[in-house]
Amino acid sequence: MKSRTTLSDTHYQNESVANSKTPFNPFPFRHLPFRYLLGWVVRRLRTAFVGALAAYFVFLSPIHPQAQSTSAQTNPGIPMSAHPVPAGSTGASLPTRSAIVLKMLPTGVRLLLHKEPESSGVAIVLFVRMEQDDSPADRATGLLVASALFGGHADRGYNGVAELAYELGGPLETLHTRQYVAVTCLTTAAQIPTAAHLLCDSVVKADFAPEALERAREAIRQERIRRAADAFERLYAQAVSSLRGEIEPSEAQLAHVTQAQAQAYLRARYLPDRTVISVTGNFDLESVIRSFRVDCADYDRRPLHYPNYAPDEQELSAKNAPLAPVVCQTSDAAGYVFAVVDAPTIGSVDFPAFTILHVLLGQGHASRLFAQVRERLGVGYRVGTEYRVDRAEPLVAYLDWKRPPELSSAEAAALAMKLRGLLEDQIEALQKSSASGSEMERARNFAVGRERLRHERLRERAFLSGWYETLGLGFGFETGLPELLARVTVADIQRVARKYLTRRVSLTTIPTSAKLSP
Amino acid sequence: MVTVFCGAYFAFPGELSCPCFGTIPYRHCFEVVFGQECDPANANESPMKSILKLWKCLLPISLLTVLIVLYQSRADGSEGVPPEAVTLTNGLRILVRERHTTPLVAVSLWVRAGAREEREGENGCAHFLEHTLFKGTKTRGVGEIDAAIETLGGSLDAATGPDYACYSTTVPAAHLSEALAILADVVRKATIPAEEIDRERNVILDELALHEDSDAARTIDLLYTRAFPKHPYRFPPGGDPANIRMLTRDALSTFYIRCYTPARCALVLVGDLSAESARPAAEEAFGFWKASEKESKKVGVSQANSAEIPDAVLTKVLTPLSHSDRESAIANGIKPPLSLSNRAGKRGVGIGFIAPPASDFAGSCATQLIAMLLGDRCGGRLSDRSLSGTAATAQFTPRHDIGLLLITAHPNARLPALDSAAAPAQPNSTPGAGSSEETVLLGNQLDVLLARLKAQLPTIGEIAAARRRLLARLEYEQETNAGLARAVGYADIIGGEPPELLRRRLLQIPASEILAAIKRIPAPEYRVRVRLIPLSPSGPDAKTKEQATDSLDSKPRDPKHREAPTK
Repeated sequence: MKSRTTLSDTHYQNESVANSKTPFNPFPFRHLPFRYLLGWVVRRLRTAFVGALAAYFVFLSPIHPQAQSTSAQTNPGIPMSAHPVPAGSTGASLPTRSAIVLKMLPTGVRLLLHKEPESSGVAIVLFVRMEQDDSPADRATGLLVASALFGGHADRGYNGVAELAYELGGPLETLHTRQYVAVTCLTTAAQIPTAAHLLCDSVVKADFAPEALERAREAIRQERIRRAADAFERLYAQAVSSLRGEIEPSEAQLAHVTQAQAQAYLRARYLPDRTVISVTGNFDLESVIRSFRVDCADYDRRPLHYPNYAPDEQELSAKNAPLAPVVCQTSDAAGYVFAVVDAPTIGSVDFPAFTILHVLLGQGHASRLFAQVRERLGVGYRVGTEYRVDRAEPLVAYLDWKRPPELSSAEAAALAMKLRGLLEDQIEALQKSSASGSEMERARNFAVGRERLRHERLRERAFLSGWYETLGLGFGFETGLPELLARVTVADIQRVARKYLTRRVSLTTIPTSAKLSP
Repeated sequence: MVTVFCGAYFAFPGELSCPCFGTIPYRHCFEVVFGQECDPANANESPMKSILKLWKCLLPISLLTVLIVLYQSRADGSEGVPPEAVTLTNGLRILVRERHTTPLVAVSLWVRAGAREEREGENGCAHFLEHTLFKGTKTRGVGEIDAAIETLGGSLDAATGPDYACYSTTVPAAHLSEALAILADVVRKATIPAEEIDRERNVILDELALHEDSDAARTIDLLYTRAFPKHPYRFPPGGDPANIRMLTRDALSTFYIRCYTPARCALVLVGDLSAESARPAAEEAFGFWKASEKESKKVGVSQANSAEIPDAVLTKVLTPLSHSDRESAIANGIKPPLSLSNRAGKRGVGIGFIAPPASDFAGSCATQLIAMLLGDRCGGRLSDRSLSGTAATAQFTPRHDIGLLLITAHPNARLPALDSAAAPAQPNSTPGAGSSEETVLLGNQLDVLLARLKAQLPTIGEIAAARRRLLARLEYEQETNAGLARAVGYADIIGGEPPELLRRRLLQIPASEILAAIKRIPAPEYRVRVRLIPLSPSGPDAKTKEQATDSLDSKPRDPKHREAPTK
């Protein structure tokens, strides 16, 4: 404070001296001693400094994203969340992300824009919600359509689309689930117009030429080969389909899909009012809106009549058949145990409690499965549970172990059965006895921690807000989810345990290790 | 306008051009700057009069621009320079990176206690110990460590590599002190209970079996074994199953006391914290960890290992060996191809080149770019049509003492019937009589591609694409707090370049340096090579699990060596 006064005094002193000499002289220092020259320079520098600061704040500082004002509450087009976000706060909420802007394009496509000035790139995810149940043939068509979206169209052939995709500079991936199709691309702000063009063209113009369908079939086949080469993944998929009574479209079914069927499917299912485009990263808001408005202008189709699929009796009986445990022998040295139970989708009110149940059972090194099987028996490197809620899959408890060479086939079989029993005991225990207070605290905090970690990546942030919006939960769902998880009680756990854990299927493989056994 | 004028103002060319005032003769500019007095009588005639009147307003604007330019140039210069590490009095290093995007902090403790520190008979100790440290401390029983960290919202993970053991977690920033206290408890006060050792042994054996199931992992292990017959890098970091079965608590304790000292540790904190707050928290948790003088001296052991690398190899890093050097090179470790006949149905080939150690920043960076130029089936030279149906990839991970540029190729898995999802699990490939020829052919195809890389040097476009891909990969890996902590900690423990500086080097390294490094790739006969060949279960030696033979490729270059028959 003192030094400030001194400087100010000096300033006024110099100013008065200069004014007394001449009213306007741009070069006062020529006639003045050095100290006046110094004062003159200091004044100019100070003026320049203040000007520089002002210029920085006016022109160079990033626009504060909070200034953008739209939200789910103010936009009537957004469905209400299935989960009421609690009013109170337990400190578990995610920190509020800077405002997400929701823009409804004229065709009905919802555009979610989340500007993050500190990000170096941009993630774009296009979602299309799938509302209807599909027949096995339609499932094959749906899978093929999703895989062939970037196979080219009348205006731009396969190579042209591939070149455009290459220009994005980042990956371009398609995920096909029962609930939605999501196309994710990572790019830079400069390439957003290219990305908008590519994405919108794919859902508007894709023509599914025979060669494009063939390429898609080959891609699906390669993906299945990759997955099937991993015994764990292969058996996982088998266990899941055993519970659901569904199997993936076969190669024969895929081969029968024609170009006309694919085009009809696209027109009937890929509709603008079911489409959400989520953009997250460092970009210019207005130019992004402009790009998508222009490119989505032709994406203006109304739903065609597409009858709901009614499963026939044979299929219904297969789905509702009593579930019997499956045991098979393998010549591999690895043994696997899977137990699969139904699980709620993200939109269900049971989702938060079931998530905590999932953590109690098999997430983390202090979970029941890890502690009771791996820590107590010293068996199995991979032990735990998997709940792929983003793919609307059931909960899978798993354990894999390697048969020691000294173990006979009979002993290996006995051990496999013992492990299966242990796994099922833990599932049963959750229905019969309640979790302790410390267990619940660990599970709640662990679940909230995982939820926070899911927001670390740009593409994940774009995906999550778009996904919630697509399924009708509203993009603000993510803000309240940790709060919902933190409020789950022991009674909630028991309720969902009784509801979901009773109907289950198990799959056990016994490593006979033919090459090692006598 | 301002910038142009300002630039002219300071540049003093013979005649200056300004969009506002037109062309200003040099003489007048000089007058403006040095304040030569104008004649008031001729003021109306002077073309500079208007400029002189505006002088008072123009000077601050000009200075403003200069300040902005100076500020921006200063910011560019300091951007990407990592903060200095802080060393506690006990020798433990603390590296902090602030990142405030999420309210989380990634904590990782890197200990120079990897497989490289293992002595004779200790193979597997580093990995075994990493598993056993979680089994209890003086204050926490079995399972309590994990429960404590998971109650904070994190999960304690660990990994062992050739140069390190690493313990890491990510917790909410508010719980940093508690997480550090738990981590300090684990590494300082582990009890290594005897009854837990046998139990954990089975888990480790399961883990190793899982590792060996991977064709690529198996090939890479073999390449290191082949390339460094004397250096500890020859050991797989997870340990050999046979050794794991024999390790005792005494061996683990000896390794623990020798290697887990503060002077061998680096604590990396990345996330929503400040450097000022990190140090007291770290000091509170680790400050009391005293290292005896004797233990501190043992830090030198790791340096001693470097001496085991033959000078001939170190000095000829990525340098073709002359024919006269060949015998000594073979004696020092570069040997003819190794064929491994295995009963697990694995097929594949691997080629390795000795590469610079992590401390050679430029060489290491160039080698990473070469690996990216070679690429994989998705891009780069290895996406060549001749390798279709093959998972071929080039990779280079810098290591403390010396590196190995790896190129591996494995035929895609074959499946009998995709539609029979309910079919029981099968071995992931079918052994066949043609497998040996197939791998030889694959090896030859890789040789052709490598020869082409030297004969048709990459274009500027190819180099730019490789640079972009590598930068994108690093960006993706380091996008999370845990990813950045991993990069920072790994670079520190191997004596490499911090990730921020590596990114800058990748942008700046000239193409000529990369091309020079490509030219130094050795001739085929001086490469380390391995082949995985499936063995028929009905063969005469069905009881033998694996057989390794030294052999040359289909075109032997030295009459002393011949390809050994595959068994």
